[in-house]
Amino acid sequence: MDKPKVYFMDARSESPDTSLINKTVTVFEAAGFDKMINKGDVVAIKMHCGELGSSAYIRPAYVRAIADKIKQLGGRPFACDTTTQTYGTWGSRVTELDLIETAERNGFSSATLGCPFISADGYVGTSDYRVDVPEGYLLKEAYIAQAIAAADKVIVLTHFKGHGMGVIGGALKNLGIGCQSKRGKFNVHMGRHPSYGIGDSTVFHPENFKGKDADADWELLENCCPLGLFKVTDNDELLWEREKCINCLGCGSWMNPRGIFEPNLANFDATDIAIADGALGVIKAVGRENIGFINVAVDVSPKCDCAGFSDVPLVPHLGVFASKDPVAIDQACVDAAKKSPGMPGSLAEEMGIDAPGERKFDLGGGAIEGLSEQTTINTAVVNGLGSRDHEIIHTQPLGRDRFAFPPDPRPTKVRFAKMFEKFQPFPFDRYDGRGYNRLEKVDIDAVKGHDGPTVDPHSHQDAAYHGDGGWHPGDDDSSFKPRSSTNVDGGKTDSKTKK
Amino acid sequence: MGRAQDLLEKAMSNMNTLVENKDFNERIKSGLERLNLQKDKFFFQSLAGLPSANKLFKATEKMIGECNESNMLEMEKIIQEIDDKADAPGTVLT
Repeated sequence: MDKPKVYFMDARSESPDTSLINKTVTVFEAAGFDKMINKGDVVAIKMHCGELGSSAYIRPAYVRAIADKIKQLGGRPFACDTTTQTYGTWGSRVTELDLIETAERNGFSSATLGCPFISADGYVGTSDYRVDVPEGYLLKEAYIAQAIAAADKVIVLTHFKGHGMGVIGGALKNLGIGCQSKRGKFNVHMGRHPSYGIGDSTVFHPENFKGKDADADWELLENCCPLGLFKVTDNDELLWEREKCINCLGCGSWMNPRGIFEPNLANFDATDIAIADGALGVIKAVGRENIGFINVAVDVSPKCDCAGFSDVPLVPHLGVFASKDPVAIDQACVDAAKKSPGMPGSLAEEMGIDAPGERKFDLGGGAIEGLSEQTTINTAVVNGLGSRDHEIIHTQPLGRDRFAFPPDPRPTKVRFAKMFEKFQPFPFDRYDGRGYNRLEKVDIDAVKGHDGPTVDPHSHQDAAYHGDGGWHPGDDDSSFKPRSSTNVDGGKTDSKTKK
Repeated sequence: MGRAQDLLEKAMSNMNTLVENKDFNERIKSGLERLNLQKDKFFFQSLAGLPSANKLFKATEKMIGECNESNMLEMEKIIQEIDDKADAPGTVLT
């Protein structure tokens, strides 16, 4: 069998058709996604709108370019993300209302995308489609966000980066978490799993709670759980109804630093495995022939866009990738990151993984030690989702005429000649046709020195500007001798007389 | 022992060597006391503390190479960073 193809363009850009946004459209076509979309198809563009505060998430312009392309093909696109588990105490995408407000703050709306942005799993996150996954390595069912399961075609448009729990945030994670409803996310995160659930497997040290008086945030220990499973008694005992824990992950950031929970590698590893099974569920719900993957590997931040902040990228921009195989595309990105030097000043440097050839995500992405950037990818090989082996196809630019300004692709003269005749923006009628009041020549070299200018302040001016909205000739320099100059009407005036 | 704790131990071992320097003896002892309070916390059990442990280790190596005020200040700055970060919530898990 042929290896799956991964269409690739690097991150260098020196012309409009090699802009990263246009390269994204180029690999879309190279991978044959244009042939996948038929007239009238409803096409979901699954993207991550970023938690509030993150800044490395995919820019709306990429989504817009893909939406425009789908419309050009006769499809009806919508962009979507899904509601999240609570994850932290102040999550910004937990309900549809949160999600839409955060998406709009981050720049995603009909106005910017040219298509609606919706919550694919409804208001709370229970609008979904259950699929059996008998091939799954750990999961045997998955709950796919309704709008994704209902779409005719799906383009999974992923910002490739690291991830605290998933280690990498690529196409597989966008499927295995991002396309799951909230209900599905509890499944993937091992909620109430007998071996890997937090409630079942975490080592709990309530003795490390120092008491209300010594812990200013003690109320948050109770309030971090949406089910109210933590209770601080009048005797300063911390109680936990662990048998009811659904793995929302809301408590970890409070319990772990206090030593109340021990790091839970089994839960993390099992979730990374389950992501691959959840991803397979999406493929089964949508149909392998109806889904395409694009990874935009720029701003490769250590943690996910769900983190609420974005650190210096681990590696320089890697480029854009497209494939019909979600396993191959993620492996291609992991390989490219491994091959790349780390970014100076980044976590890669601090972790000592900045040399080319070092794995970038085991330590740079994962939140706890012992995680592997290959776990989800390998599981997705085992469950039959795709192949690690792949062929990289270096894709050529399509030519700049393909990427004219979409609302008006006519060339300059056609667009503006008549308009400029009516409303000439250049003041040809002033200064002998040269339009503006400017000095004829200045000492250019005098302001190019890296150690500062070699001419005195104000030496070129008719007057000194004091930052108060007014010009005061000679105010700060008694030896100031104003030059005469032409005024805006083209007449001669002495600037001293303006005072 | 995790990677961060291991590296922190190495840094602390370097500092124990540096204690012999009479000019910085008290400040290094104080730093070691502060680190002893932090070393078993989740910050160093997880990967969150690895960058700080790495930086401190490098700073102690530098101090062993040249024991001076500037290098001492660099070490103290990192120890302060550890104090500030070790109990902070928000370690990113998701």
